Amino acid sequence: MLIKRIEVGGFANLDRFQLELSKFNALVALNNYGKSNAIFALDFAIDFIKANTAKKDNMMAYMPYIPTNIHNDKLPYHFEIEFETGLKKDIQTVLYAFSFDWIKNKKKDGKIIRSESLKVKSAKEAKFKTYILREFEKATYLPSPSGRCDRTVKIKSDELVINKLLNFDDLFYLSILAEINEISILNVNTLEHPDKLFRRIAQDVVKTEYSVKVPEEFDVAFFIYSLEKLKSPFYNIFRDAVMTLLPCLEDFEPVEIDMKAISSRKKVNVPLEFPEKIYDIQVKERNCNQYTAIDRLSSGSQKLFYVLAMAIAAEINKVPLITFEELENSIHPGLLQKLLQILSGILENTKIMITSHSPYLLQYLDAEQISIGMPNKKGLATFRKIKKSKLKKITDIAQQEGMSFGDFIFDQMIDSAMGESEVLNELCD
Amino acid sequence: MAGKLIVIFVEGETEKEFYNALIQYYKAQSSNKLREFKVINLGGINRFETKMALKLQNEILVKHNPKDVEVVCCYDTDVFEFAKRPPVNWTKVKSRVADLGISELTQVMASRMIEDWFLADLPGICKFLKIKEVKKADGKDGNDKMIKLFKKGSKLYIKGTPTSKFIPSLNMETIRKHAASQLSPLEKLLHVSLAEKGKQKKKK
Repeated sequence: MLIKRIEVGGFANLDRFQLELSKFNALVALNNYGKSNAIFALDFAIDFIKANTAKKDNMMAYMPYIPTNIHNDKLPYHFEIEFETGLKKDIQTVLYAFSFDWIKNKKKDGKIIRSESLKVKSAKEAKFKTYILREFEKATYLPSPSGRCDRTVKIKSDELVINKLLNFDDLFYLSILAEINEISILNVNTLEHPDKLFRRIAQDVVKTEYSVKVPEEFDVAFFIYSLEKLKSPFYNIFRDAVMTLLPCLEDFEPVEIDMKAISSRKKVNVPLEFPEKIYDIQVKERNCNQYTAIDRLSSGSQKLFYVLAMAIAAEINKVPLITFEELENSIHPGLLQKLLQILSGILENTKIMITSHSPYLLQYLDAEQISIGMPNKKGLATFRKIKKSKLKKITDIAQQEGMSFGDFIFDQMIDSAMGESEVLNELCD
Repeated sequence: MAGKLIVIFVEGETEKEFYNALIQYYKAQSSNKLREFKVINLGGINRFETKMALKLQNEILVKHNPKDVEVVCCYDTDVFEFAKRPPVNWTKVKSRVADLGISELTQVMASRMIEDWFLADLPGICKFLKIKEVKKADGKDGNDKMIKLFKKGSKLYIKGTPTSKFIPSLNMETIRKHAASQLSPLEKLLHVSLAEKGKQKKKK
């Protein structure tokens, strides 16, 4: 799956947020201008698609995301995604959208899915063909390639047609439905404290073998250990990336400690002996006389292990989009250019979206990769791109003033927020 | 005050390592004694123009008379994906150098990227990466080609960052031949004379 475009609206303080995705995408804004909400809104859509009806009911009543601005408080939540799928010779463009009404005072008016549509176009076709069309509880679908989208399917107000049709084994576009149902976005929270990352026994699921599936945060050391065992080319790239970003390290080694194997207790004969293995990283710092546990490193250094491991996991598992909240968090400015190159180098098949408060980071990006968050006159967060026709003007000003591109953009954002300048408004689409 | 000096400004650690290795090659091969030089990396977060002026003022001109200093700026003609924006303003660079009383500034431009020079020695790169030798590297530009080649060897190529033992594994003679016209201003300035050295060898 190659995501081309996403659109969300009717969510928290967001105005309609639409983004044509390039390989690398950055959302920048001052605080409270919708950066995190844009990512939450996408995450929310993916969760909603995968949720069962009971969970969908709860999600349609989830208070933190219900819009409260007088200009969007009546709007339904809306999500739309455009992606490409299939092999080179037979690429199809898919357009999927749904909307629902948030919970309302009048029970009958809220918590209902309003609309849903699935449209598909092959490379040879000029127009999209409708596969699914739904308005409230009235839904139809396309039963065969030569037919029309007029076959009725019974659907509940809190159920998505794409979930239901997944059970129709003979549908010729079952693989597309499966792709939408399984779509994933990996959200890497760099604001997480590293204490949660290493030296832990994962207790929720019994692991009988190593795995390089996308890990939960607390399983990142297990993932790195598995990577070394199962995917040595990827492990070597991971290792190369860590050593480049952390030149203070001479070496590191993922380790597994089997608590039961080192216990003096006798083995018991039970159907399942719970594994109690701790996974950690042993590091050798320059000028240090021994290997030590990773938690002796700074929190920023530990987070780099986490960020890089998640990037590798996204690439291995073909996750179509990975998001990093405030990528620059705990990372010194001199490393940012290298980090951007590394992420771009690792993630060949995955698109990257970051949020950032850093002018240092911005100076390494192309203006076309940046969406600037700013409130509109209604007080809603909008994301806008710099007009192509204005790029030269910005370059000239920044060069004249000896400023980086990042400094210029943040300076304008601050001026704009204080009502001191309309320049940013004029520069953006 | 110390004597004459050629200050060579480059944009990253790889470039610094490369120019140092190249000059070592010149030293070993040239029949002339090379002039004094210093390679300075201007990579980092500050603007090239500002950092260069600060380096000259605080590190070079405290030991050398401006008239004894010649400046060489080595850079790529193309910007790579994550290069600093906006690009270096060369008019401003020249004027800041002139303001410091240094009259000589030479530009050595790698066309299109320094990686295109590295790629002239494709067998050397493949040998370093321990991968099967390829005749042609794929990618949209020199940097991209290097990234893809390195990935074949389970390594990351990061522009501006030294990859241990990579530069020493390159064949400088091949690269020098490939980039002869672009390197010629630098060779003139350093008083490199490779052909005469060859003749001398024949005489022996």
